[in-house]
Amino acid sequence: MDSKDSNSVKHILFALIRTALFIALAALIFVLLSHVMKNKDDEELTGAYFDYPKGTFDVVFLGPSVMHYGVYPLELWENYGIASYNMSSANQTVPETYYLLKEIIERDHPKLIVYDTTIFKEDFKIQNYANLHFVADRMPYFSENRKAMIEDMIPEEDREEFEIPMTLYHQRWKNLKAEDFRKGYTEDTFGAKIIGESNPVELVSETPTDPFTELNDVPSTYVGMIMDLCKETGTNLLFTTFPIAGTSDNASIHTEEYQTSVRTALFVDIIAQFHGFTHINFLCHPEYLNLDTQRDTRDGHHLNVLGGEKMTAFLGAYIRNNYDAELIPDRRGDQSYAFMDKALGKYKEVKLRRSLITCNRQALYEEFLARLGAGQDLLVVKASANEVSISRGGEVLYAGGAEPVTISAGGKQFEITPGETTTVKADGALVSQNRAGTQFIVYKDGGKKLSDSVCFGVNESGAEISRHMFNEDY
Amino acid sequence: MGLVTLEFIEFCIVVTAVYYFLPGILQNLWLLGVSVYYILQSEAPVRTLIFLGGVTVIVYLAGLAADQSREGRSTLKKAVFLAALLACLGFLLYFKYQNFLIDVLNLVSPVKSAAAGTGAAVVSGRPHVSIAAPLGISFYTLQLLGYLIDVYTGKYQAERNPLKIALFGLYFPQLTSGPINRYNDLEPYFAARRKFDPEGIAAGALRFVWGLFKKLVISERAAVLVNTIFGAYEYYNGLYILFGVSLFAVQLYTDFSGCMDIVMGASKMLGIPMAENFDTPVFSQSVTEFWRRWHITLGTWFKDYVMYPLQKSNLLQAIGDKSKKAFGKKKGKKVPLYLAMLILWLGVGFWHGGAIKYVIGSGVLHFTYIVIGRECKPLFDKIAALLHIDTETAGFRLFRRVRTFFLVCSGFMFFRADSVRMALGMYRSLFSWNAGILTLSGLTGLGLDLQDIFVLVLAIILLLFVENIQQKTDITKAIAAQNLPARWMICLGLVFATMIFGMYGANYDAASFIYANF
Repeated sequence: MDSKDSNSVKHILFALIRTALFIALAALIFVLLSHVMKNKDDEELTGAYFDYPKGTFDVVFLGPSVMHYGVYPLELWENYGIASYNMSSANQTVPETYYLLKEIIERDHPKLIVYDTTIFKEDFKIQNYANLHFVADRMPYFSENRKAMIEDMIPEEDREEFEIPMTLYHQRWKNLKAEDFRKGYTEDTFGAKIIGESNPVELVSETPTDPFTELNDVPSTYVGMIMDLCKETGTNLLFTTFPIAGTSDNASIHTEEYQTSVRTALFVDIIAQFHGFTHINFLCHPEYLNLDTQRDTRDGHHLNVLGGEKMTAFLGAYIRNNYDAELIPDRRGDQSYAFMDKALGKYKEVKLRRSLITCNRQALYEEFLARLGAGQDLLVVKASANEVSISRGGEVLYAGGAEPVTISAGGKQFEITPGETTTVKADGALVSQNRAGTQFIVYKDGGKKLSDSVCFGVNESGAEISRHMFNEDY
Repeated sequence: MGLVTLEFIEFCIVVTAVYYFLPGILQNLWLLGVSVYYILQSEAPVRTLIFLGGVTVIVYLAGLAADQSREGRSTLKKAVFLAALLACLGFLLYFKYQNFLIDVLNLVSPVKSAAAGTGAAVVSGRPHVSIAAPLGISFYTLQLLGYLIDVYTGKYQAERNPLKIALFGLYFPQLTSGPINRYNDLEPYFAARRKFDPEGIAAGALRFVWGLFKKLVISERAAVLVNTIFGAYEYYNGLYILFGVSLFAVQLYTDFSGCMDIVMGASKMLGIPMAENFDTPVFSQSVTEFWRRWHITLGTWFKDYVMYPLQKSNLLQAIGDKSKKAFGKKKGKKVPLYLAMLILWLGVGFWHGGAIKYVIGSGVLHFTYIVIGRECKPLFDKIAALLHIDTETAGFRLFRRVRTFFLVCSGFMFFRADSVRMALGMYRSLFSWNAGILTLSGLTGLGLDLQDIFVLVLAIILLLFVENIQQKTDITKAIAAQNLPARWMICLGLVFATMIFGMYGANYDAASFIYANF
């Protein structure tokens, strides 16, 4: 080799090394940027399950939104010492659950899977791409199960947004917040979605005409695969069917949907028994929860925070009473689980705030403030046409009548002008200006940060309404 | 396979990676193979492959038969040449202009039929047909015909190696939207093995990304505003129209030149530089100069293969002689020139599509401006002298550039409008007073919010900055001369700016280029 050839080889070698370094740097930026751009606004995506060390969680909850709204893992931790995570999501279909479960079992080998069957009556692999993102985007990017799920469900020409989620999430550039640049999730509720909205439902009284309905092809195939997977891996599987599914929505009673749900749930009873699994059929036995259908439901399908607390408490007690403590130990006091205690403190704040900002009934709002807000340094301004009060940490700082007032509290100067349209200003800035009704302005940290501003009133037909201001700022 | 897809990027990476490991002959075979694969991914793959293969075979064989450097009867050569020429043009007319031909036929020979019920004779047109034209048909037909004409006119010898001609016809980067290459420009690259050139690959990749930036960050964003205004021009009248057509100029330029940057970049990575199609046209000071800088390969093709031969033809020579006698030598010699130019511009307009709006917007109007510019130059010079205007100042150059921009935009109005009627309607709307676009709500009511408009403005400023550098120097070399951190910052900045601010993905349709329809 002469010196010219030698120089040429060196030149090429250096070029290749430079290229490799460039690609590595680009890849690093891409990974960081992917995290920044990833959608964290949607509560369906707030979970960080796969960011925790392998084998952390003993119990994992799966299924559609009813499970997502109804089980609060950090309350299971606080009250029962159960280390669990809720990986359910909106319209999580049976095939989606299968691939997610496979990933969870292969990675973590949890002791118990609690799986809600409400979606079993449907016969599709995927409802829409957005819902699939809730599952796919939480799974590790290089997971074989994620890849298999996408290949199973998405036509080749549409896979780009799943193969490279950045092609979808880059559109968030104008909505980025400081939280997007932080590591992890600032509001990890361990997968729970907490809603304070309350709408009464009416239970269907008619019993189904047929004893049960066999599953359609898609759920039948994948439920079989889920049960086989659990058997093969020695994972306990507990089926649930949540109450009130399809009973009523917007005051309409969906008898047919309800009966289909009941017949499907009855069939799940049979297959669970046949395969040696347990099924808690809340749909046919709402009495298990002692549910108050005037308060504890968000709509004809979902529980609200009150119903969720009952469901969580029931499942916590059930798991404690029916599974060996060696299998699902009480992890409280275990130093490796100290992060759950830390998360619990933050969770209580998040639970209160989410309950408040979604609450639509004044009586419940005041109940949330008193019960969920206990121990939190809340500054609450309450104002209506003939009553004004300011309290902090439950202690009343001011109570007055219909006259305008200027008062300092929590480091702020409040100007309150009661009347037909009550106005509240804090340090000159408008924090509430709603129509007739009772207004609440809630600050956390003793008045440092505005948490909610809402007005409760009645509309023309006499129905109670609520108007939340500033919610988008949270 | 669209050019703005992940699939195409992956395709280019794989093609380039394998290519440099192959010996010379296999490099060409590899390129031919991947080009066929690329065609098979198009909308009408079999039709495109058969048509393109057919035209390539015809041109290859006709080239050998009509080669002036070989012995043979000149009449036979001429007959073969004309037959091949007509066959290729016939295919082009059939696929691209059949509905235009049907319109002409309906005009010349209307179909009469009896009206249902009354039995009265009514005139009805032959219906349009819907046949998907093969991918990029207008581009490679002209390219292959260029080769045939060059061989027939003795510019160079016919290529005997069918692989080279096949590659010349099917080479994938040029297939969608050109450029219209010349055989003698590409042949040297097909003849020798292309060596691994890291700097060339890096420059090609950077140009590729710059093309994506132009297309996804600027063109797709501008398109939102343009579509809103052109979609409801009765409502968005006055200054909105001026804004809309100006922005369409930006959209079209960044779309087409972005597409060119992508394919040029892809080709450069393979060590085959293709003919440039743009030379910073935004800085043109006259319409003539604009056309020297815009879609260069189309303009030079029509000049070399239509206008110049026409000027030398016996017919135009005879017209020239008669004109000189009638109007004097100076004015008379312009008549054949202008006639040839008119035919050139009609050809350019017609090439864009079988519609009168293209013939006006991309042809006749520009011809008119150029003729007026030439004829009135003495008058303009006199006025400038009379008013003591220094035409060499930066301010006057800026005036010329702005004037040229709006003259070009006047043609783009026809180009973008759905029909001549709509374009004329927009001209009428232009003269009604509506300055809503000057308000913030007027601007943000067109489909883009303030943040997107901000990004669009910044991106256009960046574009002008880059074009300004390009005017003075080769920007690729200027970047290559920077130190490593600066080069990497430029590359990564461009990649991630495109990735974040580009309008692509699930809610967008950025896959199609305006010129891919021609």
